Amino acid sequence: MSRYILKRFLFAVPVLLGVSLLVFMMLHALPVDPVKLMLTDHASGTAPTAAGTMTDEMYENMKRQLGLDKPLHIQFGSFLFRAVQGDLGRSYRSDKAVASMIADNISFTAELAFASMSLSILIGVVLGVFAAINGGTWLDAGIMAVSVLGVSMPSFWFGLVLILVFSLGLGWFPPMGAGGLRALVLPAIAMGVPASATVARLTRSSLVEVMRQDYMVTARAKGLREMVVVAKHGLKNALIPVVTIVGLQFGALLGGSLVIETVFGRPGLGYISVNAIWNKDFPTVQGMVLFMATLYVVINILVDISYAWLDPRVRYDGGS
Amino acid sequence: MTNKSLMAAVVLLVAVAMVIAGCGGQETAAPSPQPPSDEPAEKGGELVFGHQQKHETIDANVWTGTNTARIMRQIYDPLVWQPEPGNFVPGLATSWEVSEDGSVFTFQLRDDVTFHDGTPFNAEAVKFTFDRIVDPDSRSLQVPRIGPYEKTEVIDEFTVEVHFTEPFPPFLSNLSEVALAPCSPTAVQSKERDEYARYPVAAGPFKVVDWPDDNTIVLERYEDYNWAPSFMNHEGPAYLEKITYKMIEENTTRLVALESGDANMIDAPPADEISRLKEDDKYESFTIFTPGMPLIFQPNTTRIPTSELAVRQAMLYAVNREQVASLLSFGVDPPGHGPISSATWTYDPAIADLYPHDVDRANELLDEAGWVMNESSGVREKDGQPLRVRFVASVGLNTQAGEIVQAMLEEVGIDFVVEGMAYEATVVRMADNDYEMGRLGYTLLDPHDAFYLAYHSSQIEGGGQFNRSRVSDPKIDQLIEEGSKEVDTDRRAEIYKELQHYIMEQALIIPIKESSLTHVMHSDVKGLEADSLGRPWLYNVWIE
Repeated sequence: MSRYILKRFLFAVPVLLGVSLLVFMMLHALPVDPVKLMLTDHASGTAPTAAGTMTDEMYENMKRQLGLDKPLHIQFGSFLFRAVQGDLGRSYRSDKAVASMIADNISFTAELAFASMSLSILIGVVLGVFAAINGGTWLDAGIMAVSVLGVSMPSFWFGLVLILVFSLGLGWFPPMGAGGLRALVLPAIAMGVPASATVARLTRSSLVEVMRQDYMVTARAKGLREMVVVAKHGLKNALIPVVTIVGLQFGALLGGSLVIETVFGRPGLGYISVNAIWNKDFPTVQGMVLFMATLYVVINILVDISYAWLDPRVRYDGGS
Repeated sequence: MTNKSLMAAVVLLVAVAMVIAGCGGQETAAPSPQPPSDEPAEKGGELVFGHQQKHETIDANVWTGTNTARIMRQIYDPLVWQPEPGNFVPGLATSWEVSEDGSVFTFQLRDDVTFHDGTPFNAEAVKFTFDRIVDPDSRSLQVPRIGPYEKTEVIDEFTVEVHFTEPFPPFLSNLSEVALAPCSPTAVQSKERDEYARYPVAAGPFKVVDWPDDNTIVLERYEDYNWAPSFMNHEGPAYLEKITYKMIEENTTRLVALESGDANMIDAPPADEISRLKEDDKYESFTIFTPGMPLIFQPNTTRIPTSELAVRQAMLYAVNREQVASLLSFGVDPPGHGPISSATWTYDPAIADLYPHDVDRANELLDEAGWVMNESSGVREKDGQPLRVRFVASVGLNTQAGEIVQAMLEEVGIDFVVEGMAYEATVVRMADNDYEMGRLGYTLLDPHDAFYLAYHSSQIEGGGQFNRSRVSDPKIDQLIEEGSKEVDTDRRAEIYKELQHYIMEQALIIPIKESSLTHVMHSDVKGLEADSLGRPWLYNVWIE
C-alpha cells in the first residue's frame, strides 16, 4: 500500500509540471500585455485615474520590476524554482505574495467546503438510500424529481432566494460576511443542497444495483435485520462511485466558488482566481492553478485509498 | 400523478418563499444599529458600510482605483483640498506659491500634524512621500500624477519646494486627490510591504485598524485629528467612532444588507431600485455625479463611413441622448453632451444645445452626403456600399447602450451593428483598427486628462490607445498641450471651452450618458457629503 501511495505521489510530479507549463504558455500566448492592462485598464474600475499619461519609461520600469523583460524559459524556470520552495511569486496587481493570498483565504473556503460537503453527503446519502430501499414507489420518484430540481438550480439564484427568505424575510441569518457559524449557514446550504442532489442520485442507482447482488440475499438469509443489511453490506459497497464524485466535488469546492462568494460577500479563493484571470495577473493565476492542481491530485489519491477500505477486494499491493 | 403533485408542492413552496421575501422587504423594520443616545448633543456612532468592490490594497501613493479611492479618502488628508473644481483650500499645507513658469511649487506646512502612528508630519515626510512614488521599486501607478517630477527640497522643517523639469500646472489639482497625500515615513520603513499595503499610515480623520478578512476593512476615528479644512462644518476628530467596510459585490445582497440592518449605508444600489428607495422614508439617498468623461461612443474617423463628417453629425442628431441615458440608468443619470461631463471643471453648458434630437436634420445630412435609402433593406447606400457602422465594445452597459442607439439609428437608415465581446478582445480590435465605433468612459478630476486620453494624436497608438476616434488634428494637439502648460486658470478654462466646442463641431464623439454614484443609508445616518471627484466624506457623518 505505501509503495502504491509513493508511486502515486511520484506520478503527480509530471502532472503538476505539465499543468504549470500549460498555464504559463497559455497566459503568455494571450494577445494582452499585462503591464499595459495594469497601467491603463479602466474596465474594472480599478484603473489609475490618469493612465493616459503613462510614459514609455514608466512602462519599461514596470516591466523590469515584474521580470517580464526576461526570456520566457527563464521566467518559467524561476517560477518553478521558487514554487518548489513554497514561493508562488507576487501578484502584479496588489504586490502581495500569492502564497499569503491563498493562506489568508483558505480557511474561509475550507470551512465552507467542509460545511457544504458534509451537508451534501448527509442529505444526499440519506435521500439516496431512502429512495433505493423504496425503489419504484412514489417516494423514490419524488426524491428523484426533487433532485433533478437540485441539480439544475443555479446556485446564485438559490443563494439569493435563501438571502431573501432567511435574511430579509425572517432575519435569522446575516446575508453576507464570514466568520462564525451564523454567516456560514446560508452559503453552506446554497452550495451543499445542489451538490447533494448528485450524491442522492448516485447513491440510489449504485445501491439499487448492489441490492440485487447475491451476497445481499446471503446477508438476509443469515437473518440480519434489514437495516444492517442495507447499511453494512449494501451501502458500504455502493459508496465507491459516490466517493469518487464527492472527491471531485470537494476538490472543486476547495478551489473556491466565485458565485457563492460574490452572492454572500464572503472572502475566499474563488475571487482570487477569477479576479487574477480578469486582470491578467500572471503570478496569481499560475499560483492558483498549481495550488488547485495539487489539491486535486491529493484528493484523488485519498479517494483511491478509500476504495481499498470500502471494498477489501481492491488491493494496491503486488505492483498491480 | 404523485410525482406531479410533489413537483407542484415544491414550486408552491418556492413561490411562497419568494412572496415572504418580497413582503419582508416592506415590513421588516431595519433595527437601529445604535441605541438612542442619551445625550443628543453628542454626535457619534458606528457605520457599517456595504461597499461594492473588494480591494487588495489601500496604499494611496502606490495604487488607486475609482472605488478604492473612496475608502482612501477617509484615511488620507492632502496638502491642498479642492472642494469644488479650481478652488484650492489649505489642507496639510497652509499656503503655497507657484513660480512664474509653473515649475516650482513652495509649500508652507502645518506644524501641528501627526500621522496615525504618532510620527510628526513635516517637510521630510512630504519629500519622502513624493520620492517614494517615483522610486521604481515602489511600483507605484501614481507616477503620472506627479508628472515631470524632478525633486523635493526641504527648506526648513515646515517648508518644502517641489521642482519639476517643466511647467506642471495640474499639480495642485493632483495634490488634492488621495494619490499624492503624505504618508508616514516611519510606517513605510518599518512595516512589511504586504502589511503596509493594507495598513497605510497617513494623516486623515480615520485610521485603518483591521482587515479581519478580504471582505472587511475596519477604520477607527483618529482622536488627535484637528486639521479639518475650513469648508467642513466642524473641527476636531470625526463624529463616527468606527467605520466597518463590508465588501459585498452582489447588488441584491448589498441591498438586502441595508434592508436587514446588517449595514447602515451602501453604495451603488441596483439602479432599478433607486426610485423605490428614494420614496421610502426609512432611507435617505445621496447621488454624486462624477466628473471626467461621460460614456462616449467614438466614431472611427479613419474608416468609411464614419470618416465622413456628415455621417457623424447625422448620428448625433439621430440619437436621442436624453432617452438613452434615462433608459440605461432608470432615470438617475443625466445624458452626456460633450467630451467632459457637467460635474467637471470648465464644462460649458452651451454644448448641450449643439445637437438637439432631430431625425429630419439627420436624414437631410445623409441625403446631402449622397447616402441613398435602399427601401427594401431600410439601409442607406452609396456606391453600392451600405451605411454600416460596427460598434465594438465589452458586453454589459456598453452593449445595452449600443442596442438602444441601434434602434435610433435604424430610423435614419444606418445599420449599426453591435459587436459585444470581452474587454480584452475589444482592445485587440481597437489596435487592429477594425471597427467604426468604439467607446470610452472615465472618472477624472482635471479636464486635461479627458482631452489628452481621448483626443491627443499620441494616444492613437500610445498610452492606453484611448483615442479610438483616431483623431489626429494638430489644432487639438496644440490646444491640449497649451492647456496643460497654462498657469493662468481663466486662460486654461478658455482653452478647454474651445476644445469642447471644436470636438463637437467635428462630431468626434457621440456622448451617451454621465455617470453617478448613489449612496443609500438608513434615515438616522446624517451628514454625508462628497468631494469634487465624487468620493464620500465620512468625516461629517454621524448616526442620530
